[in-house]
Amino acid sequence: MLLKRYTGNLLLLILLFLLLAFFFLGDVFIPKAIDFSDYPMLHSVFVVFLGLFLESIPFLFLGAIASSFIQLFISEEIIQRMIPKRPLTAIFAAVAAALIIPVCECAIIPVVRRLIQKGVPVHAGVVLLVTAPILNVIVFGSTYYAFQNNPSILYGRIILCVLTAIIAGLFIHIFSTKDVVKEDKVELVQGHEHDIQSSKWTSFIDHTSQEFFMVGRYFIIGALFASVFQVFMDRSVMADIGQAPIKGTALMMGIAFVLSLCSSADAFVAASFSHSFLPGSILGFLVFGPMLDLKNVLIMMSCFKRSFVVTYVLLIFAVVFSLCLIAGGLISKGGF
Amino acid sequence: MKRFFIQRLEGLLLLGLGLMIFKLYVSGYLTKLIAPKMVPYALAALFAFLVISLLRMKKQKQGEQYCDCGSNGESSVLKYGLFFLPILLGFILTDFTLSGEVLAKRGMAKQQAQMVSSYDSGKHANGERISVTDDNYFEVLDDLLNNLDTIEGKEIEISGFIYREDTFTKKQMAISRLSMSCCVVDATLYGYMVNGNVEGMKTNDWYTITGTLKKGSYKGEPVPVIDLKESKKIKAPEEAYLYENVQIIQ
Repeated sequence: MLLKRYTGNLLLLILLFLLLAFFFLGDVFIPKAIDFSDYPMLHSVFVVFLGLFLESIPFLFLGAIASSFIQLFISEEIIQRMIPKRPLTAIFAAVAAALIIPVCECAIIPVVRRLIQKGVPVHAGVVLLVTAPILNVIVFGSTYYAFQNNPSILYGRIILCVLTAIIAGLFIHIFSTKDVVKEDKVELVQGHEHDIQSSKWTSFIDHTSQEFFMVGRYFIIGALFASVFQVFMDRSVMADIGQAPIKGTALMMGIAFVLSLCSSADAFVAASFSHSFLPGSILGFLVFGPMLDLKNVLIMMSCFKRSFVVTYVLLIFAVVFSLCLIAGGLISKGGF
Repeated sequence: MKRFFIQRLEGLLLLGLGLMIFKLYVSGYLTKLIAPKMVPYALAALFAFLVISLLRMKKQKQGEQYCDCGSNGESSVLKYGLFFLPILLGFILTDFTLSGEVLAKRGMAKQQAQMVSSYDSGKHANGERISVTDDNYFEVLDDLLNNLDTIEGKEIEISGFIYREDTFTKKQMAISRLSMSCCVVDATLYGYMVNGNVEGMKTNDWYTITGTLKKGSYKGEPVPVIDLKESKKIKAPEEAYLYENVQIIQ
C-alpha cells in the first residue's frame, strides 16, 4: 500500500517534470530533432487540430461548469415546476430558452444531458440540442454579413432550424423511450449528502473537472478526425456536383458534418461555396452543420446511449434533408 | 488511493493545458491559431484551468470526501493520455502556417460582397493608384469586383504570399492572403490572379508587387487580374492573417 502510493506520486512527479521541461524547452529542441516541414500534411493536421482545440476548449469547460451547477444546485422540483406539462408547449418553451441561452454546440450537450437526468422531458432536450447552436445573435450576425446579397439564406436558416426542432421534438415525443442518458460511472457525489457548505464547493470542482475530462477526450478524438478531413479533402473536385439539388444538398450536409466548424464561423465558409452550390444545398450546410458534426457526435456518445445517438443522427439528417429540398425549390421559384 | 492519483493527474493535466495556452499567448502564436476575438475566451479558460488545477492538487482530507463509488480503474492511461497530445503540440510547434498543398485543395474563395462596412462605391476603383493594406483589403476587393469594367489600366500595389494551383501556367500565379473569422479551421484564401514573368517567384514566399489591373477570370468567374510590373521580396509579416470582424453592434 505504501509502495503503491509512492509509485503513484513518483509517476506524477515525473510527469510534472516532463511537462515543465517541455514548457520551457520544447520549442527549442524538438523542432531541431523533428523537422515538420518534411511532413507538410501531418504538420497541417496538427495546426488545424490545435486551432480547433483552442477555439472550443473554453466553451467545453463552460459546458462542464454549467452542467455541474445544474447537478448540484438546481433541484429536480424546480425543474419539474418550470417545464410545461403539454409536449407542444414544452417544445416552444425550449425554442424560447435556446434563443436566450448564449452557448453553442460544444457547451450545450452536457447541459442537456444533465437536464434530462433532472427530469426534463427528452423531446424538450432534443429541441434544445437542435436550436441552441443556431438561434443566437452572433450566428444571425455572421450569416447576415456573409450573405448580404441573399437574405433568404439567413431567413431560411432560422426558419428551417425552428421547423427541424419542432418536427424532431414531436417525433421523439411520440416514438422514443425515456431512457436515453448514459449513466456515468464517475458519479461520486450523487446520493451521498454532504451537508457542509464547503464540501458542496469541493464537489462542484470535482464534478466540473470530471465532466470536462469525460467530454474532452471524446472531443479530442472528434477534433482529430475533423482535422484530417480538413487537410485532405479536395474542395474543388466537389464543385462539379453542385448544381444537382439532391446530390448537392446531401454533399453539402456531408461536408458540414466532417468539417466540424463552429456555428458562428461556418457562414463565411458557406459563402465561399455559394457560387458552385444551389441555395438549398447551402442551407443544408448551414442548418445541419451546427446540429451535427464529427466532434458533436463524439461528444454525444460520451453523454447519451448509443441507440439514442443513432436515432437522433438519422432523424435530424432526414428532417433537415427534406426541408432543405423543399426550401431550395421555394427559393429558386422566388417564393421566399 | 486510486481516486487520489486520478484527481492529481487531472490537476496536472489542467496545469499543462493552462501552461500551453500561456506559452502560446506570450509568444504571440495564439493569434495564428484563433482570431483575436476568441483570445479573451482562451485567457478566461487559462485562468479557470490554473485555479481548478491548484484546487485539484490540494491534498483532500482523507475519508471526508471520498466514497469509493467512483472506482474507475479501467484504462485511465488511455482516457487521460489523449490530453497530452494538444499540450505537447502547443509546447513544441513554432510554425503555424498551413502548407501550400493544403491551401491548393481549398482553392481561392469565390469572391463576393462580404463583411464590408459601408464605404463609397467606386472610392478605390476610381482612384489613380490603389494601395492595398490590411485595413482596406476587403473594401478594395469588393469595390474592384463591383466595378470590373472600369478598372482597366489602373495601377495597384499589394502585398501577400504567392499561391499556385496545378492548372496555373508558368506565367500565372496569385498574390494572396488568408483570413480567419474564428480559428485557423475556417481559414479562407483570398487573392488576385497575377500574370507576367513570375517563374522566379517561389510559392509561399511573401512579396510586395505593383502592376496594372484588368478584367480576367478565375475558374470561370470574372475577377480583377494584375499584370505584373515590379516585385519586391518581403519578410512574412507578424500579422499573417486578415481577421474578419463581424460587428453586430456598432
